[in-house]
Parts: sequence; C-alpha cells; structure tokens
Amino acid sequence: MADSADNDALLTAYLDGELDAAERGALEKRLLAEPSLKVRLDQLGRGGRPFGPAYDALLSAAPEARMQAMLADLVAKHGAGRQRAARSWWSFPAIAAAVAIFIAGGLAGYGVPLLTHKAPDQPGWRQVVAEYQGLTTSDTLAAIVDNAPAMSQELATIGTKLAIDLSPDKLSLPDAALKRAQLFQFRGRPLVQLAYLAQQDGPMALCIIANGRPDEPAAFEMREGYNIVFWTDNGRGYMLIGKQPRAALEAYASDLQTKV
Amino acid sequence: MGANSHDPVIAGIGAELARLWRYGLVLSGNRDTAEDLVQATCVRALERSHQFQPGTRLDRWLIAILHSIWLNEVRARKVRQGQGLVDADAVLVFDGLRETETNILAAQVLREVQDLPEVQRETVYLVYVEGLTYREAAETLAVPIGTIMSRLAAARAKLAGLGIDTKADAETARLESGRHGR
Repeated sequence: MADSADNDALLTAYLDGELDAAERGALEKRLLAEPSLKVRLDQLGRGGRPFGPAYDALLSAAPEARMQAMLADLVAKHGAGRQRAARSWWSFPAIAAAVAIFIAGGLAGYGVPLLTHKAPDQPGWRQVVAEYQGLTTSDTLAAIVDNAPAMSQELATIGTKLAIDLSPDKLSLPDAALKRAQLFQFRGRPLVQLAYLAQQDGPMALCIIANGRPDEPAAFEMREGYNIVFWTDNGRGYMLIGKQPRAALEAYASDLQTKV
Repeated sequence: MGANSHDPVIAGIGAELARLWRYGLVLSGNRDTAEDLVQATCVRALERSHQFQPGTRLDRWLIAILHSIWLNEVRARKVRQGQGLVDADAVLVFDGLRETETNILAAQVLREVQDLPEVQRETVYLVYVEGLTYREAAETLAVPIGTIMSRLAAARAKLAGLGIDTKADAETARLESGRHGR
C-alpha cells in the first residue's frame, strides 16, 4: 500500500503544480507507460473542488464589526502596556515623544489641541501624566533633600519656559511640601511637573503645559486610579493629581488657581 | 489607526480578521471558538509584533499563530474536557449560505471538507483556499512536506469517493487514537 500512497502523493503534487520540471518530466513519462497511473491521476483530479470560491462565501459570515472593535480595544491596551513597559524613572520626555504611536480612546478635551489630524489617536497629556504619577511613591519624594535656594532657581528657570511666575510662595500649599520641579516636553510643548508630598495620602503633583487652549473652569476626573482636577487658564493647561480625596484635591486646586 | 501605520502588524492585522475567523471556523467548527481564536491571535501578534519580519507576509504569520494557539491551547483544552472537536455550528453557518444557487454549491463543498479528518481539512484549507505552497503549509503546520502531500492525496481520494487507505489516513488513525500527538 505504501507504493500506491507514494504515487498518490506524487500525483497530487503534479495536479497542484508543485513538482519541479525534472519531476514533472519523469512523471509524465511514467503516465504514458503506466495506464493504471493515468487512471489514478484522473481519479484524484476528481477530488478537486472550487475551494476558493466556496470559502469566499464564508467571509461574509464573519462577525467583522465585533472583531474590529475587539482589535481596536486590544491595540489601545497594547499601546498603553508598551508605554508602561518602556517607561523608566527618567524617561518621561522619551515617552512623551513616543506617545504619538499609541492609540487611546476618549481623547476629546484632554487639553491637547485637537486640530492636528493625529490627535484623535493619541492619549492626551493628562493620561500620560497620570501613568507617570504611578511611579511616584512617598519614599521617592521623601528621599529628596530640601534645598530652598536651588528650588527657587529651578522654578525661575522653568517658569521662563512657560512664561509664568513660579515663585515658591505662589506654589506653597498647606500640609504639602513642594519637593521637586521638573521640566519635560510633551509633543514639542514644555510641560512642568511640580511634585508635592502631602501629609495626607502622599504624592501629589501639579502639572502645567503650555497648550494655547481657551480658558476652561476646573473639572474633575479619574485616571489610572488617581483623582485629577484640571483647568485651562491663559493658554496653559493645569492638572493637580493625587490619591487625595476629591474634596481635598479641589481645595488645593482652588488655592493654586488664585495664586498662580 | 494612522498613527500606528509604521508598525506593519498593527497596520495590517485589521484586514485579516475575517480570514482568520474563517480559518478558526475550519479548525474548530464553532463560530464562537473561531472568534476566540481570532482574539487570542491578535493578542499574541501584538505581543510579538517585533518578531514579525517586514517584507514577509503578515497573513501567513497570523495563520501560523492561530494554528499554534488552536493546536496547543484551545484544541488541547477541548480534548481534555472531553468535548467533541467539531460540533454542528459550522454546518449551521454553511446552511446560512443557502440563499443562492452559488451558495448551495459552496455549502456543499464546505460540508465535504468539514467531513474530512482535521489534519486533512486544515491542509486542504491552507493549500487550496489560502493558496499556501506545500513548503509554506509545511512550515505553518510544522510537519514535513511529505506529510502535506500525503494529507492532500488522502483528501482528494476521499472527495473523489475512492476510500483507499493512505499514509495520511494512517496518520489520522494514529492522531485520533491518541498514541501519536504533537
């Protein structure tokens, strides 16, 4: 039986055009000399079907819309996951630059100008800040040695970038120590992160981005498990983020709005 | 998804979902399982998108992933749970095509292929429907080219009503008896 099985395989490859010229030539010689082989070839040929057209009909039965929605969801999560995986303590500017490759839904109103055609596919700056905030613990900030003159100098430098007066007294908050000021870049725009260590519920950050957006009053949202109060004033987007209860955060935000 | 268009996997995978689902249906015979297979394939493809070589065919790469998931995870689980590998759902899908004369013929072909043993069915599908060469099919299914040839020969013999024992039928018997599995 092995012999006929080998012949069947060979004849099938012949029918499927899978033999090279030499193999084909040799088989065609045998077909002329062996009538039973030719009979077998014809039999196997009858095992063919219009497979392609038959299966094409199945494509329309696929749940296309549901699968596309599933994929969009996965791609969005994948982008966020990669962002997390790629992030290190120092890499915020790199993430901000790389963020253009990620998809995230629900961007509208994130404080980023939505006029560029890519904007709907990109997570807004508040989302990126919220994810970054997840790396900060109380220990992170407690380890920073306070140095008032250096802080004043940093704030002055950073303030210049945003064309805003960021003196320490304007940024001071009750029961929360300003520990660090850092200048980042988000899609080419300067972004400042001012890290506080609050007595209640630990790290809190005020972030400011020069985004040229029209003024908007303070609003509240949650991202990545953080409470966020955000507003836009004089072409700059602000967000105060932390684990503090909403009321506490709103009180801090209100304080900052009047001073900064 | 324009922002992702430089990633060939993300850029191209959306166009392959229906064909992946179809392959999942051929393998599992169940439209829900087929959809699960597509989702698992997408998850893995995104995880491993860095392994995809630009310039090679994305559809082949995705088919190989789906096959691997089916063989190593979904099929294995179904066997462990004692469930039949193919249920009547595929037949229902095929019956759903019975609207035009063309579709009646199509449904007939699908039913014939679905009645083939699994390894023959998927080989027929990959070579005759998806257009893989023998070599591509062998790589996708991780078997020798000779196995592809014998499976197709056995499938042709069955479809032609020849009922002759072949190497591929012997392979099927071994697989189904559980003494030889991968």
